[in-house]
Amino acid sequence: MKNSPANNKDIELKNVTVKIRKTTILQDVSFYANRGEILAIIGGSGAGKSTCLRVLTSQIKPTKGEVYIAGCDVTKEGEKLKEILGYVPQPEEVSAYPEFSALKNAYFFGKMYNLPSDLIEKRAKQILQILGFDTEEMMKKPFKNLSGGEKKRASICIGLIHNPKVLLLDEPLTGLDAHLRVELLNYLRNLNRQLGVTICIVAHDLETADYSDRIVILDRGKVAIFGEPKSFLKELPNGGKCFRVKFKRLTVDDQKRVEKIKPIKYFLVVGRNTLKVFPKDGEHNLAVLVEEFYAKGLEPLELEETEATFGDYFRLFSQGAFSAKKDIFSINFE
Amino acid sequence: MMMRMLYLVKVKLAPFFGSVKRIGALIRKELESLMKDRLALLVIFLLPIIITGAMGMAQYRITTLDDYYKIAVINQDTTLTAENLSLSNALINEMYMHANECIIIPMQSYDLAVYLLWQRQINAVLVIPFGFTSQLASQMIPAYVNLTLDGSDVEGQGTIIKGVTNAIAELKMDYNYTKYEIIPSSQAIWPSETKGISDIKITVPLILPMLLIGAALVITSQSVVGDIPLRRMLLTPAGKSEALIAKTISYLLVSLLQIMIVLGILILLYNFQPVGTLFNFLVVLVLTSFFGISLGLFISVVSNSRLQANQYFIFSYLTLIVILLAVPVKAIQRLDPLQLAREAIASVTARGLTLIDIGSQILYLFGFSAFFLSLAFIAFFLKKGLV
Repeated sequence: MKNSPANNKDIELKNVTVKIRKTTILQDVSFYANRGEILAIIGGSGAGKSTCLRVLTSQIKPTKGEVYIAGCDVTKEGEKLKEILGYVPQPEEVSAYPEFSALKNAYFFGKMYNLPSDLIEKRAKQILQILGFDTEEMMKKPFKNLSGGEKKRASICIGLIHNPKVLLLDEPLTGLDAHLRVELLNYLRNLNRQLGVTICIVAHDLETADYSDRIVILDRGKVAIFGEPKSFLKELPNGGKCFRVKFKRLTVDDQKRVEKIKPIKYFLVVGRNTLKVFPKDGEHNLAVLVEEFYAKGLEPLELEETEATFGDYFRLFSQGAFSAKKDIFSINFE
Repeated sequence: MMMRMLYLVKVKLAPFFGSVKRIGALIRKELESLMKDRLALLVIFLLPIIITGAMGMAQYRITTLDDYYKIAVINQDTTLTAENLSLSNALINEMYMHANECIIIPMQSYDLAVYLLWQRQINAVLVIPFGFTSQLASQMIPAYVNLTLDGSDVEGQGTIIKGVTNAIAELKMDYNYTKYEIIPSSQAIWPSETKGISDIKITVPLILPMLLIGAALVITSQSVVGDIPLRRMLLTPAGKSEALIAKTISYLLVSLLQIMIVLGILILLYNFQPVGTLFNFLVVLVLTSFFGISLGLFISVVSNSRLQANQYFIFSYLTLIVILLAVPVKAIQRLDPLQLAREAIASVTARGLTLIDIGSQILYLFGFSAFFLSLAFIAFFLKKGLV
């Protein structure tokens, strides 16, 4: 811990700038995650996520700034970093040896840390069980024969085999179906709770934010947003409580009519003929809202009370809902 | 004091032992991967069986008419000796008996024979001119025969001239026309005293280097560029040098297995007995494979894709073969590892030379291997952005 600031931060970047030739890839980037938290680094193409990841894995040294992983100065102690950092790459082909099972892969990767065979097997089975590999048969199935979601989970097991303090995942949701994405994020939450490992997820979608304790959004090499998703949601009226309303039909004119309903502060189009409606503070009243819809000639088919996600916050944020933070409206998530 | 010393040694050597353990695990991983790779298994086991099997055909003289040189003989001589003998007919008989590896075809028309030679239907035309018998019998006027050869068939020329010369020498001795001449008697003591089309002792030095270097190149040229999860493994404490050392050792072990298969077939099936020791033969074969492994690893490290590695493999292997078979400059040939291996194998199997006797070939072969292996290490260390 000698190089680390005296705190419980497991991931910390302080004023990191990365320049490659004359191009600035990261500029004065600072963020952190405390021990046992899940941190999401989110950004679109060219935001600087990959560079951030390479800095965190000590593959490139920042031009300026400091980087710490679990107290280890990444820029100076690259070898020590290998012991305390687990890494889960995005491409399937890099993740594991296709002809070997999840257990066998874990064995070979564990051996690179000179762990005893029995410990590797015990730990691999424990992690795989948390990750939903219920049977021995599944654990011994060749990696190439696993489904997309199973492969990703097997890869996570490999990343955790040496009991690292921090697990770094590079776009783990890429290529997965919607339900598998949610499933994987839940598994990661379980791992985080049961093993106490600090998790850092590099992602390009906002979905990850709802499972994270802390998020950082990068835009063109700079930090656009950094903080706890919960605290952002508190900025929304009624602490983020809102209604999902499905209409028989919803035209642009209908949306203009919704804008004129007084108790509504914000709304978002969240699906075909569906809105997410945020009433003003103190006006969170379903009956009043229904009356207003009918008064404006709108016919709601379904109504349900729900909570805002970070994605909702971010969309409102990008649309200029919070006037003080208008400077990053053009963040483009592909 | 002793305990403290032991403790210090243990602490100091811990990284080394850690590295050795990792190399051990990496070797196991490589071998298990190879055993699950069908193409690699084919190259390791089936290829030597097929090639060594083909070499065995030579041992059992499984030859066809195509393997013989065909000489058209046109006898224009009608003269006879005082004893009413035709020495031209006697020469043809000697050719039937002593022109080894040749088939004698009597013909009438010279033009037709030359046409057939042009068409590569035959390999030579021998004309015995009118007056051959009378001139020879007179012992005053020299007698000639006219031999027309295919100038593009370098290998055949030697055999045909040797056959004709043998027949003439036998004729001279049989009919006592050797009074004032020294007739050279030639005998091939290498590679085999036995006469025939070919011999396994000729094919072994030629084919084995091609087989071992080729097989090693095929497998190792894909070993780094195709090992994509290695990029992830290099983010663990496993170092690049450990990965390459493990690959080198693994492929050497596989080559050793391959050599054992080849030797097993040669010795048990074809009763192949090297004149020198089996150990010397084994050392030369391992060195030959080592060259293929080193070059293959270098190719694999510098390639950016499997396809590129395949292209480099074909280019380098063809270059080695072309230098061996088609470049007539000895100074260049001597630097071709295939030629070096060929000479070394021939020396230990057919002449019984020791490793010290063939020290220069051994050193060159090892030097080339060390050179490419060093380049592979350097290129691997310089390679960036693995993940």
